[in-house]
Amino acid sequence: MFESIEKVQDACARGEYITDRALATTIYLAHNLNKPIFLEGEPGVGKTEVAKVLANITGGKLIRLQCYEGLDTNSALYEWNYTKQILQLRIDEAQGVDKDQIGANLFSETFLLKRPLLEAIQSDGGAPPVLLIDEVDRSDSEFEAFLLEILSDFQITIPEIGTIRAKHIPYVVLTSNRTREVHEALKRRCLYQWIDYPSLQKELSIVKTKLPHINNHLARQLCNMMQIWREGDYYKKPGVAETLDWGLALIALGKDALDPDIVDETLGCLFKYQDDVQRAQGADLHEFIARAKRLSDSSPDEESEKADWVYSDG
Amino acid sequence: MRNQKRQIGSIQTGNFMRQRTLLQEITAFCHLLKQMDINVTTTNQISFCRSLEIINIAHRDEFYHTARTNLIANESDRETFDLAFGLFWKFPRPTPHPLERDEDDTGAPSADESSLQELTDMVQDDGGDFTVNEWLELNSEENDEQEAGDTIAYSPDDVLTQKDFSKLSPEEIEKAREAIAKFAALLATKLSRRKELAVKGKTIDFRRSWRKNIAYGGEPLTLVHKRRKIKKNKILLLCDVSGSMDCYSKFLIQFIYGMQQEINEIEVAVFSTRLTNITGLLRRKGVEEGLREMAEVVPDWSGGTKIGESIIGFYREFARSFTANRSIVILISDGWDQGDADVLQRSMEMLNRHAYKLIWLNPLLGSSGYQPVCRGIRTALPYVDYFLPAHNLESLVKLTKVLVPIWSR
Repeated sequence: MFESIEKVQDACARGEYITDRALATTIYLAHNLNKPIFLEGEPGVGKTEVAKVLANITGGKLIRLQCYEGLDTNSALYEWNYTKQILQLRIDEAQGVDKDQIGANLFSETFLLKRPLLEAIQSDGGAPPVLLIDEVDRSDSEFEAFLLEILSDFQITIPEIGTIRAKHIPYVVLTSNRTREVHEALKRRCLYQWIDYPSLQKELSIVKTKLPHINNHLARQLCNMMQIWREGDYYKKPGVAETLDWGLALIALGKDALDPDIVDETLGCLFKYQDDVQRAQGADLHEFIARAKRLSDSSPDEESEKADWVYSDG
Repeated sequence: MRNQKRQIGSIQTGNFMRQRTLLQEITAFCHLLKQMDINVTTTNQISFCRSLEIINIAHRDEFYHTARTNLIANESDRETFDLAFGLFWKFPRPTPHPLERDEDDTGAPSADESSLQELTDMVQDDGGDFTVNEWLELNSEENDEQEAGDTIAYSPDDVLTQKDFSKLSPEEIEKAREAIAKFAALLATKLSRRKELAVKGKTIDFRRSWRKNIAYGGEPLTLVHKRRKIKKNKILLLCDVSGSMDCYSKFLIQFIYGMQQEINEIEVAVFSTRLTNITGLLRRKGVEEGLREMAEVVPDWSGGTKIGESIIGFYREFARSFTANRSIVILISDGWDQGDADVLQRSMEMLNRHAYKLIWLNPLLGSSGYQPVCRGIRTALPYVDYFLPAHNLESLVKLTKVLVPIWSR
């Protein structure tokens, strides 16, 4: 499935993830060059999803490491199981094991607790795992430096055991919401890809893939409405995740068309900041919905999705 | 530099596409990107070349995406990259036929070519080496010309304060730098979430304690303690450069310079009606050259003041870089605000929520009899952690003294 960029795109589509050409190129190259992927973009545009779908289509195990400030090697890499070691000592003692032998095996793999990074490197069986290092921007620079080391060699040194080298180089996907700038050195080790809010056509295919039960008409109105929302000046514009939430909410409420009341009641699916909700409420919902409906009626039924051409959005 | 010029020149004549091997082309392209301040490493270039072996390079889309994913590491570089890519690989902008690129070499100069001219000028501009002192001299002359018209925004009494920084000798500047350094050093640290081992630490490090006591068969004989590490702060410096602040520009420059020297992670932005992030500029060009260029880059230098709009604009663009690490925000402004009071209030609320500490340094606070009565300040004050004077050396020294006991909790 990694023979060509088109095949990557098809495979992702089968895994219910709609990619554009740029992202498919990055995935294709990541596979063939064994390089990590670095994905940046606003929250809710489907960065994490890339790793999930990659695991899904390759059949590899998804190993996730959620980053936070203060994340250290003990929770990212490995830890010794101290209680187990102490118990072992006690057992050895009770059984009257030879003095020289007591505690001889304390620092062996039996007593090693594997954390995500070690797990990804050590995994052997079948397809290479997909290592998702989520929200790298939340970690601190110490952890970034540590990642640099691992991502360049895919090997880990544990002083008590020795160096462990990856049997299969895992797929690595790093994501960042850009709450701060991640260090260039780390980004430059990776294939970089910015994921933007989707175009109308792309969003429509996403909605139809993810919510197969949605009425065609509603899907179209929904997506047009999202494009209109995103033109507005909000602190946090709604992403694809919000679109899907909103679609689900509308289905659950049994609606097959947008109307001002229902939009007003479900704004919570779309905006997560009080300021934004207020601004959205202040907007002319009637006019917005009328526009969305006009747009959905005027666009022809199945417009083929054009490859998003490089300069068309510039 | 000259080499660069030649390359761009030959793109214009359209000849050189046929003169070199692909590898040379790529090297030249990466070189062009570097000239345009995109930091392409050799590793990136190698990775790009390796990628080319496995893609269809006759396919423009594929080639473009491969180049982009390998060579840039910031979305903000994208525009520059697209420009460079369009120029270098000679792809006319919107065209449906990817492979017919060599055929329209002649024709009226397009928008691309004018930007090409700019680019050439930009690349050629060597600029002279200025020291801060020289720059300050230069700037003071400019200022003198402007001041007559620009200082009407506040009482004549305040105009006197401009002398505070304008007539400094090099030794005094050195002193000023020290004062700023002290101030910066004070702000530079806070307690981290990470812990480090410490004999006098208050919490027990269980992991290490267990590890150590294994030697005693698991009896907890000794305990290892830890405490919170001291962490470097991130600082966001927002400087008002509107007309009413003109006479403090020397102080501002000294201050920015000093802070940049002392603190690694500092973002500097200047604003009057709009906010411009000049961190990259200062970092690339150094403070002297950077500041010289700053006046050109910043569109509304010495214009009116819209504090609220500027701050909100900043959050939209550079967004949440400051929420995660909870940086210290230092706002330097006299508070003469012509913007919408509601917007100002909203922006201050935002800053207050996202910043670890919000410090407002007000040069006017230094003049006797000043009361913070103007609308801008009244709106903003409830959200500010520290509202402090900063107009000359002495005030900075005092400032540091005031802050020490509060800061070292």
